[in-house]
Parts: sequence; structure tokens; C-alpha cells
Amino acid sequence: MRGSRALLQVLGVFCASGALAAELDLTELKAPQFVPTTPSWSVVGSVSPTYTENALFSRDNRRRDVFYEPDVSLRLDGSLTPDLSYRIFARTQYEAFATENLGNAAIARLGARLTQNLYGWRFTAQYENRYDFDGIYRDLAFTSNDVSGSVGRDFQFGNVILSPLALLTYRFSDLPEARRWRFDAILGIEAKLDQRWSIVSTPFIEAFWFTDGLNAGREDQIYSVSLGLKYNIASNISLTTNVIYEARTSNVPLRHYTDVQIGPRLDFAF
Amino acid sequence: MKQFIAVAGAVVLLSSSASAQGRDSVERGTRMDTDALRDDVRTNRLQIPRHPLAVEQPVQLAPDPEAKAKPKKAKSSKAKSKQSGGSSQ
Repeated sequence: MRGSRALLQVLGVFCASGALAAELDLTELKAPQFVPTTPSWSVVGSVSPTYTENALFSRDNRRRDVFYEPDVSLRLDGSLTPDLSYRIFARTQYEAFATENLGNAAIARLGARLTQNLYGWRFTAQYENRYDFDGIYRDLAFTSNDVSGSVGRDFQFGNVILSPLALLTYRFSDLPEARRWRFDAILGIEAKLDQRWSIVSTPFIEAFWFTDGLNAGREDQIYSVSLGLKYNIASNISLTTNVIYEARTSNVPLRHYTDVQIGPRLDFAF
Repeated sequence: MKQFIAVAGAVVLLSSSASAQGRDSVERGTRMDTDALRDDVRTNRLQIPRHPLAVEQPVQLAPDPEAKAKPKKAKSSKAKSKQSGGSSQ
């Protein structure tokens, strides 16, 4: 008898919970549908005066100079799914030297990219149509089509943010000497001192395998590291004063060089 | 023969200077690509402010489980009270 009472109580509990479950509307259990956001425009860029020890990145003919370098992008960002976003962009950049005018150059780029977030990593495929100019948009030197893939993510350990990025690019170009594979491994390091000040560093390895023209067979490696102090003027404007050391090795000895660059850089996003 | 050598030498010199110019453009482009990647590392940390002209997104409210559950609960409580024969009043 006691056993049957206990059984009835247990059944009662299950029946009651079953009744509650039946009251739930099935629409409440459906996952919320993704609504694609309206694409947003932004202007992002950097401007800097920089001192360089080796304006013409030459092994033997080292010339000190100061150059001005703006780098501005117009971007259209949107998302296709919660984890898949796209960007269409136009970007331009030039270097204007104070005295070594032979070093003046400019680039204009148009491109698009898709970024997939997967397990916290960002996988990006990018296409870029670019125009390289001699002088400040003076003479078109060559045009290229860059196809690249990259993977990166941010790690935060207390006040330190690490942003590793690996990038592989092939450049198709109307100038055979410009065609090449390029691999980049870059680690952005930021150690926050307080809300406005940070110490930043960017160790960077670049490897190039030129495939055509007079550069066929040439292999370069560039190793660089920067150390700087960053001041956040606002959440979308920062000023970073950097020292960069850069060294290139190559299987073409003439292409070896070292360089030190020092300068403030103003970064902005609107 | 001397003329041929002179002409050939001039052609070689001209072609090498032209190719050197091309290579220099490649060098300069490479250097700016490196700067662009460094710029990306820094600008990626910036927060793009909400654009004043951005179209306001329609806010999709999550379904409120209580909004639907309450009337049903009320009904069920009424039913229960009817079954038990009692009344709140």
C-alpha cells in the first residue's frame, strides 16, 4: 500500500510537469531568426610623419629622410549570417619624402572580402585590384590583382591583448617582376597601462617568393619588430609613437637592407 | 664589330635600367603593403562610432514567455479553482 502511494506521488509529479510542458508554445522554442543588418559605411585611416634611416631601402646607399604617409580606406561593412561578414573597400596610400623624391610612391586599391568566424577565429578570403604609381599618383607603374587568405583572432590575458594573424597572398600583375607569393605572420601586442595609455609592439615576419620576370627565383624574408607608446584620444582616435627595426635577407645579396623608422602615427575611424 | 658591341651594350644598359625602375616600383609597393598591415593591426582596435546617418535598425523583440504563459496560467488556475469548487472572491 505504501508502495502504491509512493508510485502515485511520482506519477503525479510527472503528470504535472507534462501538463506544464504542454502549456508551452512551440514558437517560443524556435531559435531567433537572423536579421541581416544594414551595411554601414566607415572611413578608417592613419597619417604619419616618419623618420627613416634608409629611404631607398638600399644595402649600400643609405639615405636618411623623413616621409609623410597617409593611408585612408572607405569601407562598406555588412553581414550575411551571424558568423559571415563582408567588406567592400577602396583604399589609398602614398609616401612623400622630404628630399629623396625618387622614393615617392602611391597605391590605390579596390577590393572585397568575406570573413567567417569559426570557433573564435576569423577566416578571411580577400580580392584586391591595385594600382601602383611612381611618384604621388604621377605615373602608373603596374597594376595587380591580389588574392589572399588569412586567419587571425584576439586573445586577452588580463590587460594584455594578443592579435596573431597569418596571411598568404598571390599577386597577379601585368609586370612580371611583381608576381609573387607572400606569407605574413604578424603578432599585435597591446599592454594596457590605464584607460588611455598602452604599450604596443608588433613582431612581424614576411616571406616572398617571386615567380616571374627578372625576379624569378628570388626569395626575400623581412623580419621586423616595433615598440611604441599609444595614447587613446577617443575610442576611435589614437596616437602611437613607434620605433621600428626592419631587416631584409634575400638570396639576391643586393636586396639585403636594414632600416630604423621612428615617428608618431595618428589612427582614426569614423 | 665595335659598333655592334656598342649597340648591344647600349641595349643591355637601357633594358636593365627599365627593369630596375620596374623592380623599384615593386620594392616601394612592398614597403607600403607592410605599413598597411601594421596600420590594420592598430586600426582594428579602434571602435567605429555609430554613424549619424545610419538607418535605425528595426528592433526585433524576443518573444516574452510570460506574456503568453500568464493568460494560460490564469485560465488553468481558474479551471483548477473551479475544479476545487473554491473562489478567490
